[in-house]
Amino acid sequence: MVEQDYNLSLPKKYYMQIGAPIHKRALAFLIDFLILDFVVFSTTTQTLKNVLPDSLSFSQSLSFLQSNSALMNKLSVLLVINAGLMFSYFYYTQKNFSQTIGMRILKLYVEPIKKQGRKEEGVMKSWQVIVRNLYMIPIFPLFILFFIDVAYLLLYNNRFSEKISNTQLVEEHEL
Amino acid sequence: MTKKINRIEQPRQGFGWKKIIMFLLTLWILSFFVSLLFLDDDGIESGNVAVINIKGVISNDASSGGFVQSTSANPETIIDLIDKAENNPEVKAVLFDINSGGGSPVATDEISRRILKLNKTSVALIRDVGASGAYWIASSADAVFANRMSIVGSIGVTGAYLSFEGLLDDYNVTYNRLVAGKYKDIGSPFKEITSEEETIIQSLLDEFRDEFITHISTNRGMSEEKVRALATGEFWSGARAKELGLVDMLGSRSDVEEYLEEFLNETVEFAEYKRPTSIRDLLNVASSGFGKSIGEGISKNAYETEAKKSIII
Repeated sequence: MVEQDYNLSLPKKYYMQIGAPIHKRALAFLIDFLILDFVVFSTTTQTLKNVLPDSLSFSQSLSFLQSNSALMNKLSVLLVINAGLMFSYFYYTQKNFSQTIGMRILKLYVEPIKKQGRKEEGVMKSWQVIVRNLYMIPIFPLFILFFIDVAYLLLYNNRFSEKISNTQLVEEHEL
Repeated sequence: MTKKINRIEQPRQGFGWKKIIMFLLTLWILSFFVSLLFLDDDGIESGNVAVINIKGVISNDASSGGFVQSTSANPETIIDLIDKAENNPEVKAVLFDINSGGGSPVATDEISRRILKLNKTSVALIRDVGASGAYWIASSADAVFANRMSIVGSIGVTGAYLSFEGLLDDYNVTYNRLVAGKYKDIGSPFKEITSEEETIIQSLLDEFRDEFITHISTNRGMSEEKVRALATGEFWSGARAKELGLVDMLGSRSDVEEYLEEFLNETVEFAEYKRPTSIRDLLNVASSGFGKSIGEGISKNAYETEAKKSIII
């Protein structure tokens, strides 16, 4: 059977990209967070339930943890490791597919910002993906980025981490 | 700020669901193992009555590790467990599960003082043996339980030591005594003890015994005279100890449970408080079967040797 190359010369599709609205960003993050809650945090939560006495209230649990410094230290390290796993999910999906599962559902994409006079490849570099997701590492001063990002997002519809990483979250519409 | 960009179609890379699912699976496995590694065994269980074991020789040197597993009660570990129980608001009472023939006076006193400071109900349950230092500790609890066939008592102090001077003479070996300080080699096994040295050691033992008597008297609410009369080093069955006032109730753990349920007016759930398992302990498990009998022999020998050269209660 001979393979034939069909060139139908179909009309090109055009897309319009606009900055992702806040509610879609939030929803996408929520979906990703729920996935990570099931995948990463469920085992930790279960372990915590085993460690912490059942009948304690939140404040009692806190005082219990404060009085057990060894346990508190372990939990802190565990928190950082879990944040690292969470970070790796965002890094892997955004670097390889320009979107996470939540973004996929809401048709959002992460794009590098094309600067005038510079040739951009349209693919994010590793440092850009790392910088735009640094806010989720619970180590000082990185976690401060989270609060700055939220404030910046409300003001400029763009996160501060996105600004410094030269990336943007867009939604695409076919024209 | 909304940017509008018109863009010619470019074939985007597929989303790669398979890869992402594999990645998430990897994350789940990693998270599972990380949780296991970090919080597998912190020595804390859920329950309203903390159970702390005091078993084996009570000693500051006691430790488990290496290829020889030893059963011992280390004050540092026990005090740490008492702290944890005290700081846990769920814990309403602490049960000290005792099976020991005593040990170091210092280690005993450290544990005892911590129990006295405990601001929660404390109960001591004597299993096979609760003698000497172990009874000292038991008496620090609010209530003392023992089986009617438990060995209880042995209020007294011993400071025996070995003497080899006859053996050295037989083999024509001379002990050349060089000391700076008259009593520096007091208790040396290579020479015969002098009456003066014996008096010094005896007065030390008497002092410790007096301390022991005062402690039991205060804790048990007994007169010093009565305790002094009992402080002959004699031991009794649990049943006899109850008659003598050294034990409050006869029974087992289930009897302690009933007592605490009535006392606390709630269902009792025991939580074993134990030293957290370290990786070293896990490694020791592999060698414990192999070295168990050897270990027991060495441990027993070590205890006897220790008994011969130091003061124990």
